[in-house]
Amino acid sequence: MKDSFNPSIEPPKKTVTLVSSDGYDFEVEEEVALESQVIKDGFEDKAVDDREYLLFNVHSDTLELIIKYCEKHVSSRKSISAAAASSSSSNGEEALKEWDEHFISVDTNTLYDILMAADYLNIKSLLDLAIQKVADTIHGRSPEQIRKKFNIENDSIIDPWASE
Amino acid sequence: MDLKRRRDSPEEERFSPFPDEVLESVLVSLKSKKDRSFVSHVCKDWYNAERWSRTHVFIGNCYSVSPEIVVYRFPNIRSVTLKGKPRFLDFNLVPPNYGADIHPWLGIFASSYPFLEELRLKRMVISDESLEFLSQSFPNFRALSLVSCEGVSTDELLAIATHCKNLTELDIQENGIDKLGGTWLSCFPEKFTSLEVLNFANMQSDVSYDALEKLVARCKSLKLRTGSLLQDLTGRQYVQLEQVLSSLKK
Repeated sequence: MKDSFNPSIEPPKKTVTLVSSDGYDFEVEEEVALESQVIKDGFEDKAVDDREYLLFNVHSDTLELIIKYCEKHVSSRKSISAAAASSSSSNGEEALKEWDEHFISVDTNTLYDILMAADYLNIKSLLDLAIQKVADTIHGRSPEQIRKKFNIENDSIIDPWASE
Repeated sequence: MDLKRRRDSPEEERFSPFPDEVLESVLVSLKSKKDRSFVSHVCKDWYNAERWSRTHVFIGNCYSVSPEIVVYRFPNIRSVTLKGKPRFLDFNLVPPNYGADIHPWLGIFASSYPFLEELRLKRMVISDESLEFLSQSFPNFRALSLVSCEGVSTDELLAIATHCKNLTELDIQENGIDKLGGTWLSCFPEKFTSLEVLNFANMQSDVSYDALEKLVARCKSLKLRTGSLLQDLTGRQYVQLEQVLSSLKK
C-alpha cells in the first residue's frame, strides 16, 4: 500500500491509530491522518499516547481506500514541492490527477461510501473528487436511471408546479 | 431551510440519502439544464435540494406560469430568462394588449429576489416605469438583455445607466426603441468601470460618440458590439475608436 518514496532518509514517523466501524485498527503516519480536517482540529490538544480515533461511520473496506488516497496525496505533495525546489520539470500534478481519476472509478456503492467517509472525515479534495464523480454519473441519465443507479426510492408524487 | 434530513441512517438499507450539503454540491456541479430538470424528478429530497440550490431559471413562456409560483418553488434565484409573446409577433400577427408585461414579475422578484443579478427578456413589454423600478430594486444587478422587447426607450436606458453601479452587460437588440435621444450613454457615472459587454446592434437612435469613447476608455474589459453604429461613424471617428480599443488591449 505504501508508495515509492524512500523511508530511510525520513526521520522515524509518529503514528496514529484509526479504528473502523467494524473494529479494525489501522496504524497510519500522523501526516497521513492529518489530511482529515476533523482529525487535524484539536489534534494538538490530544495526549500523544491517546492518538486513537474511533471512526464509527467508516467501514474497514472504505477506510483502507481513504488511507490509500491520503498516503498518495501526502507523498505526491512532497515530490511535487521537491521538484519545484530543485526547479526540475515535473508532471507530478498531472500524474496525480490521473491517479485520482483512476482511484475514483469505482462502483456506485463504493463511490457512495467514499463520499460519505470524505464528508464525515472532512477531507476536502477527496470530497470534491467524489462529488464531481457523482455529478458525472448523473449527467445524461433520466430520473428513473438515477434512482436505479443510487438505489433511491421513488416518492415523487408531487406535481412540480403545484404551489401548495 | 426546511429540508434538514437525518445525516446518516445505517438501518435503512434500501435508501441511501446524501447529506444536504453534499447533494447541493453535486447539483451545483451539474452544468446542463436537462440534468437539473431530471434531478428534480428523482425523489422529494432531490426535488427540494434542487429548488433550494438553483440560481438560474429559464421560463420559455411567460403565460405558462405565474411569478408567485416561480418564487415559491425557487427561493434563491439570481438570474432569470423570460420569454414573452409568441414568435409570430415578428410578423405583426399578435393582437394589441396581449400581455407579457414585465411589471408584475418585477414587483414579485423585488420582494423575493433582492439579490437578482441578471435579467434576460425576449418579446416582453417594458414600460419606463418598469425599468426605473428595476434599476432601483436590485443593488447587485449586473446584466440586462432585452431582445425584441416593446416599450423600450432610451430614457429607460438612462435609468439603468445612472443607477446600476455594477453593470457588466447591457445587451439591447431589435427593440424598436420608442424615443430617440443619444444622451443615455453619457449617464454612466464617472467612476463606472465594470462594463464588459455592450451591445446595441440595430438601435436606430443617435449615439453620442464622445460618451462612447469615454466609456470604452474607462471600462477595461469592455467588448463592444454596436452593429450599424460603426457604419455611421465618420472615418476619423472610427480610427480614433479603433485606437482607443487597441491601446486598451496592450
